Amino acid sequence: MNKSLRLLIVVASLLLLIVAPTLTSAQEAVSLELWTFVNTHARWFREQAERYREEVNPNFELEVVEIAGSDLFARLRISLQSGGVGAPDIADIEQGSFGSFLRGGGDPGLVVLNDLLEEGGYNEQLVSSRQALYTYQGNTYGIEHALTPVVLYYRADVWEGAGFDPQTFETWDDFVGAARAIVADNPGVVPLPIHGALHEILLRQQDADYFDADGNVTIDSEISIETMNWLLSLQEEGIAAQPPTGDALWAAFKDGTLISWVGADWYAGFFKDNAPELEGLWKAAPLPAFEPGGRRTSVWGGTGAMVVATSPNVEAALDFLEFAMLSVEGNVRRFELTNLFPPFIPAMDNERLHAEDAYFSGQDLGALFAEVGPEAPAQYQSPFRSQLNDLNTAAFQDIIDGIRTPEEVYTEIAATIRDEMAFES
Amino acid sequence: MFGWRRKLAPYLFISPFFIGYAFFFLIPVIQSLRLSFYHQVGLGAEPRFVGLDNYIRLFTNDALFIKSLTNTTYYALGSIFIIVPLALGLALILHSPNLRLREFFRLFYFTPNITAGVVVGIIFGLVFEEQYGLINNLLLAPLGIEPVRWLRDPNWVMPSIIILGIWKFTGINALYFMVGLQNIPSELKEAAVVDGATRWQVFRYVTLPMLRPVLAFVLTFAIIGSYNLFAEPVTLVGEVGGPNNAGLTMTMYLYNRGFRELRMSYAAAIGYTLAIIIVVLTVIQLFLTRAFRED
Repeated sequence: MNKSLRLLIVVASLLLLIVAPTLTSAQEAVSLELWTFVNTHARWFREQAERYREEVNPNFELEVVEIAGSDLFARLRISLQSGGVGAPDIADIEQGSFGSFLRGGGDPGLVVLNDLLEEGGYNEQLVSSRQALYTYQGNTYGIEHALTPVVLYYRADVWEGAGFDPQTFETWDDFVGAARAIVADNPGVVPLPIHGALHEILLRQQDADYFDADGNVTIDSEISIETMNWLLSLQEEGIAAQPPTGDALWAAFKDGTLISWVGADWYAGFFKDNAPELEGLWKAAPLPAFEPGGRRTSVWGGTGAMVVATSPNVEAALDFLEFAMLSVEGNVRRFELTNLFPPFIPAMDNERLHAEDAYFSGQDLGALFAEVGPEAPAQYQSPFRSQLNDLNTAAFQDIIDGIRTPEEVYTEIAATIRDEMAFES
Repeated sequence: MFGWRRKLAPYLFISPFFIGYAFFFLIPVIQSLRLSFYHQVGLGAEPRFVGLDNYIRLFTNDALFIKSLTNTTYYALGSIFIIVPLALGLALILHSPNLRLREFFRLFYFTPNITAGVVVGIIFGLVFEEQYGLINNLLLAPLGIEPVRWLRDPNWVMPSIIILGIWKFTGINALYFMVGLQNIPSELKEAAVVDGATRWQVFRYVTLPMLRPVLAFVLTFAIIGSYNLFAEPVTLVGEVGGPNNAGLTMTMYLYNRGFRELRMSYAAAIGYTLAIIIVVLTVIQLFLTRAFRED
């Protein structure tokens, strides 16, 4: 072979090598890392990645890493602090901890989703009060997983056995009346566990909260103090009590001490995971209202999926998030796997959300959530929310034990947070 | 000709370690000292020089810091006055020539120390649980004692942590003391016995003085370990330290301020204050045990 022919062959082979990858696959390989702290979300994300591979890009890979709650947020914050070293592409951030990313008024290190949501017309399709949790100063950073409508879960066998039907309770007075009767016949039973989030939940049911829409502290408002005093009066009567925490909580459910629970949609999954032996004994009803005709639900919790700004694959991450979280199929499938009711309006009346749930005595939980969902109140974000929660958690025992009054505690907490706000501005 | 190389050789040999030490310890430590004189909150925020403001605020306007300081000191006192004497007692028993299966017992008492702090915290959470926990149900109830609200009553939180500390750290301290005991020449004790000393007098005038270096060592590490305690309280009572922050230790407080609230500069000031406190207490302790005396 002469020189020029050899040269031609070499050049041709080189060209072929360069072009070959694009000939074999029409899509480029995408590999994303996602962090979540909820194992039910992790299952769902993996399935959605499967679906993405089938429908959009066969060369898509999603590594889902499950990290325990507060660890995930701390690691992400540290990562972002050091310029994104070791940070994932997508992260689930719980609404209570999201506020801390906004501290100091600096850039939270997350991608602003306004364009994505506007271009797809998604803003009208997502329940805005949920999206408010991940929005600060006009920028939306996350997409909500769950509507978190709060309902009253109750031991149907116990309440109905005593002759009451919580489905018919219109107001909290109805509930309290029935609870008194049950406690009189069954001492030691707790109709209303006062768990750490109950006060917050009841405040939101009454259109209040720990912060208002402008970020002012409102934990020391009249209604906040009154609500806590009401709970304490129920405790004194023996109707309400502080439940155990951790594993002991499930022991209390299983031995029949706790006969109801004010919880959000995601708590249904917790019951199934932690107390499978109580299957078929529970039902759910709308929350009793504070006044006749009042709101029958509240919100508790919420997790936003967010794209980390330091990711080298922002476009791919946004595309996957849109596919999974802003589609009817994605939202419906998530409900099937996790009982999380979608904040995505087009998915809400899908028939697959209305299966009979064996754990809850064959009840159609989806229908209950859909019924109360539209009334879900707003919950406002603040960079100081997690600090307020810390102060509140530390003081909670004093309130329950009657060592300090709610008024004293809430006034003090509000003053501390206001001081902090002044210190940092 | 090789003179200068020979002088250089030691430095070359230690340089790999020292370079690593400088990058991962020395430089960050100096950086954080610098950071403690600034005000920096949040991700990517601009630091602002504030001099000693952070330190002043810690001691004059920060009730939680003072709380964490008293809590940690409470634990340290428990560590010094309960764990160390218990360890010494255990060491004396394990050192006794009449004991069979000595090796087994040494291993047995040492294993709690190698268990991860988080695991210990979680299990002790179940042990101390008010309604379903081990202590209230299996120990107190049969004796007719009212259940103790170990982790819900602010007065019992730190004692619970001290109990955890006893379980975890007595073994390793006993091990140190055992080594010290083994190094006491038996002729000294025999001579004392021959001179008519009682068991207590042998202990007080022979054993204890000979143990002084080990005692100084154990106390130093007890102080440092107590003030650095983090994993066990956090898993036992939560990140805020439980009811009324009764279990809030100084490192927990530092973690909250720095990594949960992103007040990095303030956390740096807390860190340095913690370090200074530990150094001061250790020096005082060394003087009290007269470790600097050459006898």
